[in-house]
Amino acid sequence: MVVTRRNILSDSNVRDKYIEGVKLLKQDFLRPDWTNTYDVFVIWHYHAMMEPTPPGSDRNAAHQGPSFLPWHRWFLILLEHHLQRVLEDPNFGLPYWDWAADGELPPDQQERAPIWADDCMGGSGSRVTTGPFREGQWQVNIESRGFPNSILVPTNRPLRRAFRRSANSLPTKEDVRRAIGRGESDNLIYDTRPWNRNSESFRNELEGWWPDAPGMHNLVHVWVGGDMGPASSPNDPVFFLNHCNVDRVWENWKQRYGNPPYLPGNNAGTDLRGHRLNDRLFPATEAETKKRRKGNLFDPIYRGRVRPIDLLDVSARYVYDTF
Amino acid sequence: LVSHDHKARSGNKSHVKKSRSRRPSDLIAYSSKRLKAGKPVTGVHTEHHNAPFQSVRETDYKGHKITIYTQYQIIVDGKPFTGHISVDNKGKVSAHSLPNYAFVSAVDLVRNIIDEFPEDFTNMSHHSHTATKRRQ
Repeated sequence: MVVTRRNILSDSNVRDKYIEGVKLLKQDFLRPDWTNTYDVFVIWHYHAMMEPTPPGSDRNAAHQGPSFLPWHRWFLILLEHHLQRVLEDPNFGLPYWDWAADGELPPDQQERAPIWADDCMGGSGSRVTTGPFREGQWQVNIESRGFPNSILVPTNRPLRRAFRRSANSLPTKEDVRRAIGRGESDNLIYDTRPWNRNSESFRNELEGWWPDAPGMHNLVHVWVGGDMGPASSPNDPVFFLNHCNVDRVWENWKQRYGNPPYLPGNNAGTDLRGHRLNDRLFPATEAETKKRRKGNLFDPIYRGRVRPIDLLDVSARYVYDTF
Repeated sequence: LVSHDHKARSGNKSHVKKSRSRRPSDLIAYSSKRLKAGKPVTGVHTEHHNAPFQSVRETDYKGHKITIYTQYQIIVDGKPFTGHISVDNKGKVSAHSLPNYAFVSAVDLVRNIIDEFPEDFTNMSHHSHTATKRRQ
């Protein structure tokens, strides 16, 4: 079934179902020895970010490298699947936050944009006190710490946000136009050497390391701040709205230019293992993957053996309402 | 179980001692069990950062190959701040604590980490010094 992914501000039904769905995932357990299903995504993201590819590199299994877009596409497809399951609605499509539209507002008005209303994502604060994820309605159970550097620890506290503390303004429509527009010049490449945050490529611009960091996707994390900052950033449900918009921009770019090839290809060096076209992307669990004949509870769609090539054509799974 | 050879080979990489680590086959079960028991979980990157991390930038210019090694030694209230700290080709500094951020200096990086994680620093001695030292 093909579902439609919509702007969270254009469809109150989708908005309300997303809020209901992520809260249901906090109460859902796929296995008795696992944390709740929502937090499985937090743990998976943390470990992907902490997996250097190759060992010793700045590039990790899901960031600062070519796999950034396909890995997060897989991440979103699985979240969407589990939301459909707990909502008992196979037609549910993950909503996106068009942050570039809010980036057109004056900086001091961006934090009062409709996305942060009480009936949508709520507001900012060291303890978020408004909206559906306010204190008492949403609990952060695990977090990545700053010191020692990036260990994952249990916690029990409200959600944190710190709008504009470290970035004054969200990305703008011009930022998006510039990234997509590079396809019309001589730079029709998904990614290029050195395949990291120094690459002059579409992937690196959309991820937000080039031409100036932090930009685009990274800038949204930094602008929201709080729990959107560390490696445990899926703790904030806004994480998925941000990445759904990132995926939308990628899909826009692909369709506009007739699906430019994913790079690097299979003949690239082994130091790019995990990022090449036919390489296996970093899974949540090896053990579940081994059970593929019996069914993978967490990933019944791909069963844990997913490559970038498997994620380039999503037309049988979802479409966006508009680019 | 997965073994890792921590000898970097190419690209924008960092040199750390060759070592071996093991990743549980079920990361979710392993992490869930430890977190439920109140114990921390460490990723592969975290496990090897008891020593200062060396970031390596490599680029070509007019036929010349350029390699720049950068290593920070950061002390906060007398305690070493270890971990993955890297520099990009524009000189901006990043750390795994705040993986989407890029700072114009290591001083800004540490200040922001203190701002974002104040509770991680509350039990530290305030009469000690904060210092950053860059070897390049």
